[in-house]
Amino acid sequence: MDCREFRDTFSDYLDGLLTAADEVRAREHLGACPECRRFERAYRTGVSAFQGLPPVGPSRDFGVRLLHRIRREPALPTFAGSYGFAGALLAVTVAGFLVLDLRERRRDAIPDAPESAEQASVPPTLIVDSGADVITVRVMRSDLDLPLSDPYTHLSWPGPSTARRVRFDVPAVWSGR
Amino acid sequence: MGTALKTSTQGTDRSLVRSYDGLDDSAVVRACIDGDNRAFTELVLRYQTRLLNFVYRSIGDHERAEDLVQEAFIRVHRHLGRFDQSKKFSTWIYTIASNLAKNELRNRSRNPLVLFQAGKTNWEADHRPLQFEDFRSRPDDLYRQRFLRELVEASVAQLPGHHRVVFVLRELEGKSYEEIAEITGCNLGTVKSRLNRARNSFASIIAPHLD
Repeated sequence: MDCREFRDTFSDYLDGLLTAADEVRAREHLGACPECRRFERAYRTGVSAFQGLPPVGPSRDFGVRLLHRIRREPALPTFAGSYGFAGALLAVTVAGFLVLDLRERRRDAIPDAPESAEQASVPPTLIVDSGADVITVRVMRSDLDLPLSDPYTHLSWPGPSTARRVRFDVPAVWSGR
Repeated sequence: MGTALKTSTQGTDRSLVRSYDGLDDSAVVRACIDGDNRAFTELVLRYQTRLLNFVYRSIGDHERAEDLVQEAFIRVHRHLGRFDQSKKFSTWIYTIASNLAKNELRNRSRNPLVLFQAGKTNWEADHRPLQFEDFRSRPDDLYRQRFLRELVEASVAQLPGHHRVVFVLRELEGKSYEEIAEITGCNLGTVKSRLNRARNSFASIIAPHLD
């Protein structure tokens, strides 16, 4: 065995995966080659030191942050979660079309003049059905529609023709539950 | 599956969780799927340090490693119901962590300004961690140990990312070739080839400094 063959089979040699005959040849080469002997000794010393490195531990707030992140997980199964990137892409694309369509419809429906007080008090929820009873988009226009715990309640209403929040109600069969 | 994760001053505290000592991973996973909220905490306790060390040694950035390990646990929490219970949980969670580490390394290769933290060797004396040093050792032994640690960390940091992950899984985590193949999504031949290259590179880097 020469140095090149020894290096090529170095990993098998370390893990004891060489055949008995090759094992003997490798040991004979090590006995005769100071360079490979030094190489092998350096490796073992280095790995031993690597395995002896002090383990790193989680920081003090690791558990708190993990809990916080898990609690922020959406309660409903998402289309993206069930179908991966392709599902996410499809959902975003569909959402984009629906939101654009909604804005067009609302632009036609809402006059340019400011709404009167009576109009403003009308429940401002608009539900659009895709027709296939698959995706429902609900656009909420006032704080009345937002639950108290909604994290976005502090945000100001961006404008009469802008969807503030879009919610997807996905049939259970899509989510796999 | 709820979130009954208990926390303490250092990561997640085992004393706050019902004892699962006699149960193997698959039993804890089953309990978790069956709605035992504390079982997930037990899984976190069992794997947080191991995963953190694996990811940290793979990417070299402690803070980022914590983020990635958290992400791994979140994915476990999210998809545990779909976990194939005929397989090893440890392999599954390591696969998730390995993929996250791999993505991190790939993103870094696109942004070369992010450096491998473990590659730094210019420790100031006051900033060196002292808690693991043996005070019975002689000063020259202490110096040698510290030198060796820094040298090893720097040497591992110099390995290419896909070699480093295999190297860490084998030498630090003690995973079998088959497990490494499953975790990294490579075939056995690729794992063997990468491991041999990683070991040769590691020895070549470290040998000149040990004479």
